[in-house]
Amino acid sequence: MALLGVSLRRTYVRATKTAPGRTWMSVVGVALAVGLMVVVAGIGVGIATQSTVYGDNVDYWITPESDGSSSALIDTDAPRFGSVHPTASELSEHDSIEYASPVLTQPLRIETDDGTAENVLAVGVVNHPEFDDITDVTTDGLTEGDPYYETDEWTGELVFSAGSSELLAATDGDSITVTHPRGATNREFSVATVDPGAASGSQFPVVVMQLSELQAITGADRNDEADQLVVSSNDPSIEPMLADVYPRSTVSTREGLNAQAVFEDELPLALSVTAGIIAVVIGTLFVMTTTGLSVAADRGRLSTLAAIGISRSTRFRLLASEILLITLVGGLIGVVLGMGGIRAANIVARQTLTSGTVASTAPFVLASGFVIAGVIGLLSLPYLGLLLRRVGTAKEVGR
Amino acid sequence: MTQSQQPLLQCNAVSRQYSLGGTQSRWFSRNSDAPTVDALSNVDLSIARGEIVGCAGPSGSGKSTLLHLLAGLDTPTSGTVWFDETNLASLSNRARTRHRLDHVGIVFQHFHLLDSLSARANVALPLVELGRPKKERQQRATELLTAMGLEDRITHRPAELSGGEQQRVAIARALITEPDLVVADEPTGELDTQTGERVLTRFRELAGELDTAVVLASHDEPTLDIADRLVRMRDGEITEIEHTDTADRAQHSLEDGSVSESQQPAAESSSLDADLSNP
Repeated sequence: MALLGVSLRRTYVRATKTAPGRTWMSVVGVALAVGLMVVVAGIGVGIATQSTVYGDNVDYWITPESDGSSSALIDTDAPRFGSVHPTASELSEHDSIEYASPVLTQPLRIETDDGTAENVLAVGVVNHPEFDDITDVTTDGLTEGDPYYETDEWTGELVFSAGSSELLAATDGDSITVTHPRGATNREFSVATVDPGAASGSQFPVVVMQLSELQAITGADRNDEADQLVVSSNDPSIEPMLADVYPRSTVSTREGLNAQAVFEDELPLALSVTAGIIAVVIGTLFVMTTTGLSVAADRGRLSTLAAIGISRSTRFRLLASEILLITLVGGLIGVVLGMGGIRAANIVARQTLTSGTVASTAPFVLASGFVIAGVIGLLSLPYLGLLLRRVGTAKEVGR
Repeated sequence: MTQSQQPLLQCNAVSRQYSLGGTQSRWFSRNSDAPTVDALSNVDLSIARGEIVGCAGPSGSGKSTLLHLLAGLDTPTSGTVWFDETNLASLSNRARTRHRLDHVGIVFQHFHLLDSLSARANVALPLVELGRPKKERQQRATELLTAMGLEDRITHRPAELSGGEQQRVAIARALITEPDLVVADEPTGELDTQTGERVLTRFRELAGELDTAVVLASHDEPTLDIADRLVRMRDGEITEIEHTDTADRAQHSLEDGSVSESQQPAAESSSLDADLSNP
């Protein structure tokens, strides 16, 4: 601890008074490397997570156990849950849960009055005041509570994504005919609202509708089926309880899905790994260069420390603590820079490429910035050890 | 010879050569015909506990080399340097570093304090290595700095101290472990007369109270007046060893600020052979 105190004081004084140039060069080098890595990794995560079925205010997904593929992604052939309405209603009454909604996804063919028809992905949910969107499509326009299930009152409400609206040239109030592989339905549907298309997922051909009405036209109403349940809660302790709702089910969190998506999608994974490697190489070279300069400049003092009996291991720990401190500070600044870079990338993307975001500030992306900074510091230490064997030895003192 | 009469340090036929040019590494060396410099040649010297030995001589006479060998900073090319019953050349680098921490205090002309630490923290640094508690480190460092007249400079960093003040901090750092041996190269070079005398008095106190051997090297002969013996060197060899009447000389130098010529002791020149004593 005494040595750490000496190291902290030395680093502070060197950064502010005696050697600010060298010290801040190390910090800046690490910060730039980490910042760039965070931006690139954030873009990778953004790409990977664009196609998942989730909303910004969903924290947990309960999905049937599958063969390992992500059940949060659209998978219409997976096992389903049954009796989902009463189950979701019971979950919603829990103190820690804001709302819970089953989600059923089915491909449908929809046609407007003028004969324009397209295949779309229908997503059936039970709307709730806190339930803002699903698959980046707003749930505004859907009557809350699924009236057809509760009171047999058919709504026929369809919320079109921006992509669906563009494909079918549909607007609010348009009458829609829905066809399912089982056959055409004689139910009436209409466009309740069109999502403004602010989020990237809204560019896909998706329609959001009442769960029970989708169940009715697809035959999933026999067992009150759904593909998954989404749960909104700030309580991290409810995860075990959610896992017990259905046997042989899997509970996923937002961060787990993001990380899983990154690792299952080759392009974002390659981007993130490449960015990390480049950051480590550049940052390590920066730190090694400034370490060499510092040791050379300090060789007189280092040799005097050796002369008065300070062991090489102590001298190494003294300088190593400084290096690690500098790289961690650089990592912190780099993460902040990276967050700013992600924000800037999203602003530029919205103005030029897409209406949604392209980069994500997922916590594990930011945490990886600190990890990379730590790796840079650790990789620089062997070079420090090599330098101390050759520079600043006791023999040099007084020469 | 009794324990107390055994010398603390014993140099037997010590030589140190440095090669000029060529390449040397741990595993091989090239160009073994590169010219060499004899920094020290066949030196025999013994130093007793509590003895103050002064080294005098022109630049290049080998004073610094001798001090390096006595302090365990370097090893001789040939011959042996015994510290108590330990052959310093037989120790590993790590062991010699530990030896210096435990037994040797070193004061050099260029003091090399850590510029980011306060005077007190610089002085206490050896105690950090020894694992002493913070309270003890601070207390002892403060006491030493006060003894050096630096009680108002304890929290100042080296950049805020004069050259003389920095030298006193370096001296305090050398003394904090109460070493068996203090090696000082030009210890009063940067100091004014009064402060220099205070430092020399402290060396004498160490020698008297703690039985610490002190080896001083200086171009300034009056600085060496406190020595019990004066070793004169030239071209890497000891040319003369004077046994001085140090009690009288030290008293007069402190009272008068100078040493009267009449008080010059009758120098007892001794050859190198006569100075040999069996370990």
